[in-house]
Amino acid sequence: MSEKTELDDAAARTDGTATHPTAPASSTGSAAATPDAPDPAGGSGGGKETEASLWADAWRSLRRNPWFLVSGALLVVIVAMAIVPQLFTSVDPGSCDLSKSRQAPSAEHWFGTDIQGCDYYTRVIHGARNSMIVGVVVSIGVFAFAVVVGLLAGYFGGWVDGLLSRITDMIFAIPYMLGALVFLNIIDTRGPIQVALVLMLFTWPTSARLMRGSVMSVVNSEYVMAAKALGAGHLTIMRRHILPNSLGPLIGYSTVFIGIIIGAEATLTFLGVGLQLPAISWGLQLTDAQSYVTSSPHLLLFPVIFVGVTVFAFMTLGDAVRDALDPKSKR
Amino acid sequence: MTRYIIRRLLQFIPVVLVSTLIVYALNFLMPGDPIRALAGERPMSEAAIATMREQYNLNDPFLVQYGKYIWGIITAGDFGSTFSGRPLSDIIAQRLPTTLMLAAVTFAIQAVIGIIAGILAGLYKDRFIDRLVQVTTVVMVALPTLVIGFLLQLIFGLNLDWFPIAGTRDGLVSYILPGIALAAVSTGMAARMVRGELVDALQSDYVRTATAKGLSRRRVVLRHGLRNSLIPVVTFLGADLATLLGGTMVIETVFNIPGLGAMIVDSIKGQEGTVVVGIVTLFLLFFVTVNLIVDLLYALLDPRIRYE
Amino acid sequence: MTNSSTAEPLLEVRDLQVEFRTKAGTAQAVNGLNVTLHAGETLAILGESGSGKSVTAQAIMGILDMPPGHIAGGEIRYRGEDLLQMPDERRRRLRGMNISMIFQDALSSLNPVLPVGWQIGEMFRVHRGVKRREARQKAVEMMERVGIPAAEKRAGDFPHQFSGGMRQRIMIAMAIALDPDVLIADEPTTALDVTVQAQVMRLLKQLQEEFNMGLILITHDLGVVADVADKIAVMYAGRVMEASDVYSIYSSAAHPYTRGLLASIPRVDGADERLDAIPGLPPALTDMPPGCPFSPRCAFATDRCRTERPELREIAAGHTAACHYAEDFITAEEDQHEPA
Repeated sequence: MSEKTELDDAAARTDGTATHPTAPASSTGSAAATPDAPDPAGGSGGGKETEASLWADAWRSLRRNPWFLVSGALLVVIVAMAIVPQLFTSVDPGSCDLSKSRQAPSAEHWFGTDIQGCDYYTRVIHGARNSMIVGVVVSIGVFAFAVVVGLLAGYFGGWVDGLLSRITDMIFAIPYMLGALVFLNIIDTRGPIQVALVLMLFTWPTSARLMRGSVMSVVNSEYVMAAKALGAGHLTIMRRHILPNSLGPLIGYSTVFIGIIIGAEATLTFLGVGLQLPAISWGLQLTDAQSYVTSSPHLLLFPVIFVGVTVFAFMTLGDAVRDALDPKSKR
Repeated sequence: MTRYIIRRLLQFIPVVLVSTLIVYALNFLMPGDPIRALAGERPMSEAAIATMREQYNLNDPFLVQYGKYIWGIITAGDFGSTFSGRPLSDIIAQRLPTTLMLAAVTFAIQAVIGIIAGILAGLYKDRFIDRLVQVTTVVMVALPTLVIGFLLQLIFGLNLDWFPIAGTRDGLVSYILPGIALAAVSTGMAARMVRGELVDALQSDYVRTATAKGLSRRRVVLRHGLRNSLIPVVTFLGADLATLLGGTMVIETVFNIPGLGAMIVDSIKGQEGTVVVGIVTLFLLFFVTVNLIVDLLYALLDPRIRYE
Repeated sequence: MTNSSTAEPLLEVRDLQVEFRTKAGTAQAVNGLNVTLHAGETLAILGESGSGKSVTAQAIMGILDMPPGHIAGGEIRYRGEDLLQMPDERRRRLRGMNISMIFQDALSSLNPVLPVGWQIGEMFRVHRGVKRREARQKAVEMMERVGIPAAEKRAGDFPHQFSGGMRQRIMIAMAIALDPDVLIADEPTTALDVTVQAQVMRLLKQLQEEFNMGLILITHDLGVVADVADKIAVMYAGRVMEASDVYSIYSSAAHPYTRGLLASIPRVDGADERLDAIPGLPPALTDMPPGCPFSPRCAFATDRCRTERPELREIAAGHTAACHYAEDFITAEEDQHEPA
């Protein structure tokens, strides 16, 4: 609507028992007898929206979002691949035949074979698990940490906030790829857990800041004030009132974040400081493939597509969730 | 305005010191004694080692070492030297033009394509061009630089053979694919940002006023709508120019470009701490300087900041 | 009122229909509006939020957002020529030159990143082709004219550096820069402090007389109207409920809605009197009741009101009202004035 919101004519809008001074007709002007007409188009929406309907609304708008449907379907496949790769291939990723090294894709080997002559399709399918472990572990760990830091800083403010925010700022100032690169380099044996821990160390500030911001936007709301005035304890207020109302943005971001981390893990492994052989990993496949890019481009192509699709699916899904949970994005 | 500049310059100094200090501390995370690493397989006398330690200021307390290091950079452009004794400033002088070239190509792509796509989408909201930009940017923003780099290499380098897939032998042409790969995410974000800002601006009260003044549609959009919506994008692109240097590590490795980013990766693998710290310090100085310039530019464009 | 009502009107709105087409349905924002404005005359359009008064102003000005807005019918005649049939380019030239407008919130309505002098001067540059330096000089003159102190020095300042009242003066300077015939003021004082409100209204009134402009004052504030308006049209749910000269409205309002609005003004002299408010809310524009739109909130509504929509009809010379029982209200009023 283009109609500017005019200052409400309070007098005309306030309900009251109005008895008009001069009444030619005999009826008595009683407010109770007057049915409230619904709000006109462009009026304010009323503040009765409950938590439950926020989530229900979010779900309803998600179901109609094509990006959500596409990325959700992709994720179901990728997650299945990570948990039960046997669903997709019955070949053992360890059974390789050196005489069949670097064969092009064929009916027998859909994605061709790698340098050791292993079935590349099987190797790529089995690569999903390590990526997923790193992505999910980092995201969950950072989520939990960010909730604690954000809640404490946002709720208590003062020196608690000052201290936590300065620490956050310091870590934030270090580009996480660089920090992880240097740190991972000094660890001799690097499995998914080591990689995940180092990534957590350098990536949590973004989430913590986000959480702190949304806690602060809730903490001064009237219902929190009311709860405080009624003498509720800090823990009760945080659990009952602040957490449910401030988690939305972080939930969306954490899904996006899984995608970011999977991309970061593949990149670090490709650069030689992530996962190590004999682990099966898309990043390692990329490293090997780069030497043969002209003669066997399929070695590069398939892991690139898998990393790309996985990261895309997580980021797009997370964005859709974030939009759906953000009341401001409703048109 | 003058006071604003002075205040920003004063804030600039501690940021530089703290961030370079953190990076300098990274040096000590590197495994092994640098002097032993330097000596390699050769046996070295204790006296020689002591001399070396003195030469590299390794006997001083940490903060003093750091102070001497920064002082050397400021006064003499001395970033230290590699284990083989070659001054780091030589390496930087040799590799910097390559990385700057890559950064320039990337920045040009981001600014030109990102802004034009955003303007078109914002002006023709909900029409075909808008949908196209929206779909494209969702994909661009959601793919890691590494993946985009390899895909471009495979499709336009290898399959279509339009561009070289590695190295810098072909001059400007060599930088196009790496530039696109490095620019993709930010181009998508810039386009979305311009679109959003422009859509907001075109619905704003002051654009309505401009229409009520009887200005032509063209003047309303260009003078009143667009000018205001480009201000935040200037900030974004500026800040991004700085973070872009981090991406050079990946893209220079993918496209085998002999720049400073690839040098960082190689030095980390080769455990050459001084090289890593030297180049990263250079990047950081660039980063904070660019951010300072962007802030000043922002104040110049938006009077509301200037007079706060 | 002047005798100009016999002359050709400046602006004549006939049966204006404005719709908003949204997903929720079609909202009838303005439904069959008729108003006339003469030179030197002030017409107040009075109504609550959503009554269609701002939409009317935007439709006259030609700055309605289309879509979702859509002018479904009617005429807007400026000096006899229908603005709605006019080529876009010609209509654009009329905006700012012949018909101009000021808005409620001057802070958001002025461009935040351009100096105010530049924004006023733009009127001269675009419409008169005046050079930059001269345009600035004229802008300064306009700023002096609307009472901005040290105008020469402040022309280079930006909107956020001025106070609310000064900003609204800048809006006014911009709107009257090219000596327009018609000035539309959409809630010009609503965003201002009460003391400043009076100053700005006085300035508007004074400029109107000086330039012999027709002024359309869009407002919800009956207090503002009484001082400055010659004629009043009371709008409700996209329709005119009552229209007449300002005196008749205050002395003998014929529509229960108008009476309700009058009763809801706090009075200084009746300290113990109740402040009466109209119960309920206006109807949704997408879902209008079949009869009188005010009937759900009207204390006097009968079955006839709920089923048959009252037309706007003349109940006395120059006094129209859309109520089946309009005459009864006037009579009742007169009865009450009889000494007991």
